[in-house]
Amino acid sequence: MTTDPQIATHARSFRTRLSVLQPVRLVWLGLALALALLVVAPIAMLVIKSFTAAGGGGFTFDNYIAAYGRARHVQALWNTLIMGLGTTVLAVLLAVPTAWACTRTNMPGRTLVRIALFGAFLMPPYLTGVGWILLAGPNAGFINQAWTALTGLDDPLVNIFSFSGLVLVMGVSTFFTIFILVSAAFELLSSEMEDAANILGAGPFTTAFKITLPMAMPTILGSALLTFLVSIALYGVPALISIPARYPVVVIQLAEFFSFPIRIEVAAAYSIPLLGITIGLLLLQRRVLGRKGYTAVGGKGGERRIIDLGRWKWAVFAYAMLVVLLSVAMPLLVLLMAAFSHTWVDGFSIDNFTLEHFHYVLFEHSSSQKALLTSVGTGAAAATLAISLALSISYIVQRRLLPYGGVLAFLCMSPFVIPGIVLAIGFYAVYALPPVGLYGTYIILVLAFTTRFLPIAYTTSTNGVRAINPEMEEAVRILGGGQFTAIRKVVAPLLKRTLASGWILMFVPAAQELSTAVFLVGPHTRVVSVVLLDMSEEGTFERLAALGSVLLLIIAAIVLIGVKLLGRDFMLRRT
Amino acid sequence: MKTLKALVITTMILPASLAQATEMTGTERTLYTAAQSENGVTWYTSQLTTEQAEEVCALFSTRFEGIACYPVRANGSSTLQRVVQEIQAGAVQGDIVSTNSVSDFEEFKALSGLAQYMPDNLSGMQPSLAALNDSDGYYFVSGVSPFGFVYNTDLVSPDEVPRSWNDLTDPRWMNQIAIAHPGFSGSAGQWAIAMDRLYGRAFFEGLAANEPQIGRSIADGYTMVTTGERSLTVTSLALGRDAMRDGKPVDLVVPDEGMFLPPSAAGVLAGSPNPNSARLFAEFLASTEFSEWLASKGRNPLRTDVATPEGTPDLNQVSVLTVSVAESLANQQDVVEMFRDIFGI
Amino acid sequence: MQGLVLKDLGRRFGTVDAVKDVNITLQPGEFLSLLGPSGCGKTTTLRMIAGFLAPTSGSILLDGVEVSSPRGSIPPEKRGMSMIFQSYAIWPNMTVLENVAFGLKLRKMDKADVRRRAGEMLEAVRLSHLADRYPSELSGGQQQRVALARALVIRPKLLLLDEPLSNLDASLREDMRFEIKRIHDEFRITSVYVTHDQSEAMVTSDRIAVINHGKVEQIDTPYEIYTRPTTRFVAGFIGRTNQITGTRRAGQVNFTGFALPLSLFTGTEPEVFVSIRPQSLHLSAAEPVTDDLFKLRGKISARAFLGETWDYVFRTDSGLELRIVARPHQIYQLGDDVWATASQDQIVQIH
Repeated sequence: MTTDPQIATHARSFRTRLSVLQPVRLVWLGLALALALLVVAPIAMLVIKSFTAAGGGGFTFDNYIAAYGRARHVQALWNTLIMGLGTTVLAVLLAVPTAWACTRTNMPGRTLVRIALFGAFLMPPYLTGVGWILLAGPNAGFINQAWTALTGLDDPLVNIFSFSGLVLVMGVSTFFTIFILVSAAFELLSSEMEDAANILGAGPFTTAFKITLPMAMPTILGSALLTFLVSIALYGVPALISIPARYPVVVIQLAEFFSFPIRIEVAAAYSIPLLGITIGLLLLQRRVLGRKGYTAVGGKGGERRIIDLGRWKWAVFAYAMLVVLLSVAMPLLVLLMAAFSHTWVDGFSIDNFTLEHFHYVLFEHSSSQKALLTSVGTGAAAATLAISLALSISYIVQRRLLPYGGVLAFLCMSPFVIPGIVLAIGFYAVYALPPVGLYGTYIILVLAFTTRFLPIAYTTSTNGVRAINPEMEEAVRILGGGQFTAIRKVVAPLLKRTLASGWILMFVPAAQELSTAVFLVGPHTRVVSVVLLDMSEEGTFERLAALGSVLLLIIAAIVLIGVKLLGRDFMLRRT
Repeated sequence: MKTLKALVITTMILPASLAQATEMTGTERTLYTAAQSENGVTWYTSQLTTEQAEEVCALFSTRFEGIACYPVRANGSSTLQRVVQEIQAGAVQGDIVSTNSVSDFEEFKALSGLAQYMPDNLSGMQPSLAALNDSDGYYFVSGVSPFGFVYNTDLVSPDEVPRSWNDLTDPRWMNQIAIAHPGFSGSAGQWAIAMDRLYGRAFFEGLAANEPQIGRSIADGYTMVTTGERSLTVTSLALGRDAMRDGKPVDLVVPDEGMFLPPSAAGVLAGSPNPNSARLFAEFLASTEFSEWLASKGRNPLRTDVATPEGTPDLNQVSVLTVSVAESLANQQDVVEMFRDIFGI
Repeated sequence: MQGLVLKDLGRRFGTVDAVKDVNITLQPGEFLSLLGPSGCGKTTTLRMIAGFLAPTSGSILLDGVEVSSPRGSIPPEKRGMSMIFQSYAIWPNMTVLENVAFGLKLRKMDKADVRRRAGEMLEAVRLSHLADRYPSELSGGQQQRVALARALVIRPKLLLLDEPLSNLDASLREDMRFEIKRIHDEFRITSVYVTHDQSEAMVTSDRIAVINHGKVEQIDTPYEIYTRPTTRFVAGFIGRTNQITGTRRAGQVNFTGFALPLSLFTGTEPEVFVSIRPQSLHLSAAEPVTDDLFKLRGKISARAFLGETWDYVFRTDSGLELRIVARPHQIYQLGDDVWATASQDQIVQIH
């Protein structure tokens, strides 16, 4: 009698398990091993290093003393929390009203606003940061030039090199996550809830505040938390702004530990609180949501009716346009202007127009061209690897093909709690140094990017697999096809969309990734983000803008192809 | 930036004429032959701007046809970090390194990260500079870049210009100064040591009170002033002269205490994947061609056989401030820490 | 031996017996329903027959060959069965024709044969005109028929149906019951049909197995199941009924307010349970002249007019309540004094 492993899984007989589960267990072991290498090893190493004396010594607390022994270092930690909080509040203020207006009201130009904000997803934070430096540099920034020209006052109107400037750039760089998640929640919310309030005499805004907003609150809180975690770990924006603003934050301090003399152990010790904060907040969120008995918005909530804003609709539209201007339109416009200008401060004019910067970055600057290829290549490789890994695991977990699938699922999601720069330090400690010695290879970048964005891939995959009724596969089996036939003929074709949208969701941030890359690139594996950061310190914003625009163009082209294949709504299925 | 085009043209014409100008030395020829089976040279540098580094590399590859050159330009601390990281990781990927801080090389040396190699071409070096070469034979001077003030003439009238380094503490310059962070920029680090020696902690406190804009590289401050974002910066006078030639509204001041002179140094990395290419590039940095290129950019040449260009002060005739390797090693970390504590970053 | 045999079949999840000691034998061509409330184990039984689940005790034999036992199971794809799923599980990435032809292609049939047989099958389920449509373009009923065609076209040894009508709306469901019956009569494929809807089971099945708590309560034809339920569960689950409890006393069984001779009952337990269907009871205003042993006097305590029938609640002074169904013209007011009778053969002893 033949025995199929998958069937036998259900048989709890010891003998059956012993005889047929071996190959399947190997698959499990293989996946577990891959995740252990990608996720467990770097973090374990980080924790170990933080308690290890430099130069391979024994157990010690000295690293923690070195990391926190200085008021300045503790100040940076405190500053980081304040900055994260400010960023999160701003991001919520930008995202939630706009999401509400775009999904539940008759605000004019809803599609336009959504498409424009999609640009915020494509713009890497450091390019937004450069855009804002050009806009709001205290003296030469366009806004201040205009201010001085209009009023004759020398004092700048806005100064990007300040705490509020830092928060502004962080906020406009990170609010998109909240926008997309909250939009999705609003779209699932049934209008009947609002109708019930309307019938009792509540106007559109009262309804929004009393009914719609509270119902979406779990999603708002969850995405705000996510934004907080992303912002405290972001490297690019602080690297541009927090040094001139003289506002030290954790990531800058970590970079200092990585400069001479390199103190990985101290850096490890210094990053443990970041890890602690992340895990703590996620646990807190779970408890708070659990206790208050919030029911997360889910499922098809019935008909959705558009709310008529009446004469308020133009005011709401103005607010949405302000968000578009701050987050995408203005920084992108000045970047493009700078890229085509001899000197960016002179603004746009025929005399000032040139293509020399594009010529320079594409043909003269020796590392730009290669960096573009490296960014796109490593981004694509990481996206492919992560999606394959995540899809296999979510299939195994969802179909309960193997015992202890939950462990794999947990490992897949855990990089979510690891700030990029901390992950990079862990990766550096495990894989860059001998005996592994992957420093300066593409492999270490691909592996690090894969790990960093694995949670995105896993959530997308899980949603995709969950949407396929297992009966679809059982129908294949009963008609005479094996498990493999079922995957090939039914599961794979049905997952095509998931696969492609997950791939794009991974590719965009991976091709732009800076936080993880900054410690892992070698001289020949520099990615565009790192080249841009190096350019930024020389203040050659015109060339930086040119190279940044080329990267944006490539990424936008790839995403456009994806959107064309997938339909425009694919972003809404992000989680 | 009209001169950018001019630069590009010069880059294309100059190397050809230079390559014809001089024959390879015997050492160069031997290294050149051996380098041909290697993968080119990777040059970590904070000594020049990206654009200049690209030019030098192009010049090198033209003179030594078939030997590729990859400049990896970053600020001093990034370059230091990268090289130390590679030495410690036992995975050296760069071939040669040059920075504006001689003390970096003492660190590399202490980590056994440098190969003992002094180019033959050093024989033509000016004696005052040759004296700064490592007596153990691990590194040599690859450039000198005198520092002074560069200011924006649209924003500062000639009678207001600062005279002394200590004028930076004058409240008149509130919100107008741009400097590089000594923890990031190698030459700014050296400069901070000299300032500490001259005026002590009070200098930094006074400077901090003036709320200077702090960048990661001296090139950043220079851009700040040329764009009018700030009025005054401490930077390489040569960069200032470049800007003046480009027609930008800037001028130079040499402070009364003397221009600050951070020598740049270069050394071949031990374990370099392309050792012959690395040595060939070291020969190139000490060669007449490189000194001629320096002179063509208004910088001080390293060799006696190349004349100091007009408008550039002859270092043997003006007063200069320098920081010795020993002083740098002894004080650098403390000064940087002091700076960080005072400026809070 | 031909047909399907479930022998002492059992399935345990942790410490819970989802299915226990199930013994069923199906003749070739027979249509059997597994009927029971949700969670009773009927779907678990079906999934064991299909091979998606291995039994923890007992065995399943198909045409005399053991296909499932705790020692091992033949995988579903090697059993030659077909199944219609609750969700239909029509593959959305294939056209109607491709869906139907899938099983034939897996059997490495040549293309012409595949086309011909799939075409004939679509004809049989009246879907020929939709052969090139994708499932998302079909109505629920049409999807249901695609599922039927896909399952039948391979001429399975056994057809399994897992609540196939539960996702359809009421009127469509009624039509599909007869459609399934018609197609079964046409192809005579041995079928096992899982449902919790008794009327579905009664329309379609040759026999019904009523399952409760993992055990088979009764297997019989629909008529027998309805008129002669053997257990309290079956009597209550299939249609509405009045269950009355009595006690054995010297020579007779005493119920609340009346008694019946002991000879009518089997068994020896002190308690006796009987079932009387509401429509087996008759109401009259005057005391009826009848030999019926079951004759009670009481009042109408509640009533509802349902159009085709009256639904009365009859209550005796001693507190016995009975539901009685009467024709529309039999009108009684609340509180009317009435008599209720039932003939002896309508009183069914249950256990």
